[in-house]
Amino acid sequence: MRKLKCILLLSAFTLGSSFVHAQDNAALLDILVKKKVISDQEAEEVRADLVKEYTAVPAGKINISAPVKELRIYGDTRLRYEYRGAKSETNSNDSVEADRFRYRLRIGMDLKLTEDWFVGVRVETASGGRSTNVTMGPNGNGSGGSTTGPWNKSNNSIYLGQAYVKNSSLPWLTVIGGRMPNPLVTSPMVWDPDINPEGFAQQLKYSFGPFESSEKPSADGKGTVAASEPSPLTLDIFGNFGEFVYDSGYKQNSFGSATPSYNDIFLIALQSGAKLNFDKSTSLQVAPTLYLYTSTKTTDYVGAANVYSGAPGGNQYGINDLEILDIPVEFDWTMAGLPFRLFGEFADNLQAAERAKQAETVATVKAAKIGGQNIAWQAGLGINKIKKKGDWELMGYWQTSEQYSLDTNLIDDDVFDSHLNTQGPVVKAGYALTDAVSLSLSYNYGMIIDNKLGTGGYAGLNGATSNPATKSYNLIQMDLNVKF
Amino acid sequence: MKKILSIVSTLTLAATLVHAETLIIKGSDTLGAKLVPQLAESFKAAHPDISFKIAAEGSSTGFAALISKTTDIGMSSRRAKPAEMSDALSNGVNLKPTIVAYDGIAVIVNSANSVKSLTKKQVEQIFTGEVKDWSGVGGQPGPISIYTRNTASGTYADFAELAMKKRNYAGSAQKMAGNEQIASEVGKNANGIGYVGMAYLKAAGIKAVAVDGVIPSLVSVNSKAYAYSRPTFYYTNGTTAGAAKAFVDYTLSSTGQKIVEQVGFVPVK
Repeated sequence: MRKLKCILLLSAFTLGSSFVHAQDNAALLDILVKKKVISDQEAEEVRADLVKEYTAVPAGKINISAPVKELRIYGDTRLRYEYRGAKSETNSNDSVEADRFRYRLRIGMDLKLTEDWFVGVRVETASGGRSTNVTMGPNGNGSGGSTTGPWNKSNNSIYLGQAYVKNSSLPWLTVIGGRMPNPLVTSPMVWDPDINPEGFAQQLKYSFGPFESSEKPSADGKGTVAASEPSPLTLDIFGNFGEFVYDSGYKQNSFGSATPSYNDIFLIALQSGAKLNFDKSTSLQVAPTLYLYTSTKTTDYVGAANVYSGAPGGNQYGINDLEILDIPVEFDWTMAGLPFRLFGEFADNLQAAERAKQAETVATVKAAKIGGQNIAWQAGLGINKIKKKGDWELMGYWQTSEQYSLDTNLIDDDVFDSHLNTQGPVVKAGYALTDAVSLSLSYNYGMIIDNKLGTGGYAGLNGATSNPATKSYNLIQMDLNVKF
Repeated sequence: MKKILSIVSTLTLAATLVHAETLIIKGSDTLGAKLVPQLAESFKAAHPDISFKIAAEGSSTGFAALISKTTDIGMSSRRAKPAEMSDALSNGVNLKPTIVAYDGIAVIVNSANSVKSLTKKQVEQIFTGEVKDWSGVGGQPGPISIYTRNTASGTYADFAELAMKKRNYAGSAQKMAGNEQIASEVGKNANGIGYVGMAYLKAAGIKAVAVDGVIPSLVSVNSKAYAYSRPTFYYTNGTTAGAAKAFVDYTLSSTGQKIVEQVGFVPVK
């Protein structure tokens, strides 16, 4: 009996340390009873002893509800030093600078449920949609000191970053609802990676291949054999569709009002794409996407700043007249044992002329250049990827984002301080100290494209209004990333 | 001399009182409503100095009493949960199971119901509320009324595991305190369905339906051919001694196992 118990305990811990194994070993015990190796009573005693011994270890104390098939807990913590600076267009000696020591925490939980349901939850620091960073030593008063004492916790709240439900009952269709990780193929030029859109999404995917070769008669002439090895070529066709609730217009109507006051605003994303895999490491992916905004004529996002809100240097963050065609492209291959990635993206706001015209209605900017400014693009190269201890990676690209080309509320605020009408280089390097800990350094320098126009954008160094015209932006970030 | 006799008689009485032992047994209604009282009665005939206190309010209550050391024997129709094992260990109690009988959880319907057999899938669908009308499982149209045990019951947990893949019971299910109450309600309700231990199949107005073509019986439970077969247990704090050991041994004796069979359970030997 003691020997049997030892064997069962050993098997329980070797088979993936799942407490289910240790708790029960029911199948093995049942077989032993069936074969009359042990009696029912002996099996019960072994079962009870196994549970007792397992409940003595920490994992045995965890109780997970029955519908959960698999639970994954993950997260990361990041320490960051950041410098942001902007130079004035009008006064070469004037600049605005900000440096911060920051940290962030994200803890997530993926729950695979029965019958192809899935729930994802992630909590994270910082309330903003485009940031998970907390600044060390709250500097809200801007004078370098805190009015509420050192290290108060007023900016340390934990927020719900993701909470979504997913179903993939059909192998080619996944349906998602809630606050979700971005379901689209995209880049920081269009979407800040910290944004988790709220709404609904559908992902379709169908794969073709590998393709069989033609057949030829076999050597003995009795049958057929493949003429050559099967082709490694495969093709994935996919479609990602998002109906994101951009701004909920509660209430749509009210007593005493003849016409609706507010409308819900949806951002509709229609993406279709293909990935051609030439072999395991070489592939080409294209994912044309159309972004549409509903109801923007009757109400505006966050206040009424659908046009310039200040002098020519002023910013704008309205979402009127945006109909963006975006085409991200990526080519991956391996050379000298290293993975390479050549990537690019091209976006065109098909309503840029109208958006520019709206901007022109503000008297103070009538002199500004109108027309054009509808294109955003980037092109770059990435070498190697961080996966384990000792790995390194390098990435660099050029980005141009014209003034009326993109939704400035979505673009990455870590590139050109979240402003449009800028262009310049972006570089990033990383090195893994351990499998879980890595260092990264990134730098970008954004130059204003047209100094008669604003730079778009709500956030960043200059805020929404009253900023002087800017000539360039500098941004340096040094990170220590710990994943768990 | 009188004084000496008086002292001797007092000491004898005191010794008798000290020797009289009360055996406390708590837990499963499946075991405690019929089987254990009958075993106790029979046992007392040979051990008149031992009295019994039996409380049959569900297997969970038996484990709770064992952990708080307020019972000698815990009756259970299910295995101890890991949390109960853990609680017991931290209280210095070593839960030791002894199989005393086998049982089949019989799915019962009103005897007027035309349904005679259900598949395991249909049983799951009914008790989880996926199928709400008897016409959905080949019966006469009528809304299905579900009767289950309450959450303190081992049978409640066992049935969820054996028959429902641990899914939740239908929200409309009515929770009953014991097997007899379930049998009584199903006997009165033409659209009723519930489950009881085999010992309760003799109640009026009910019948057991076959599950995947097998009716719960001594043979089908013993061979484990019946899908909802299960062992039932006495749990004690380690190896027992005294009256508790005597009663456990008696239950497993041929006399005890005869009573097990007479009551409607399947003997272990």
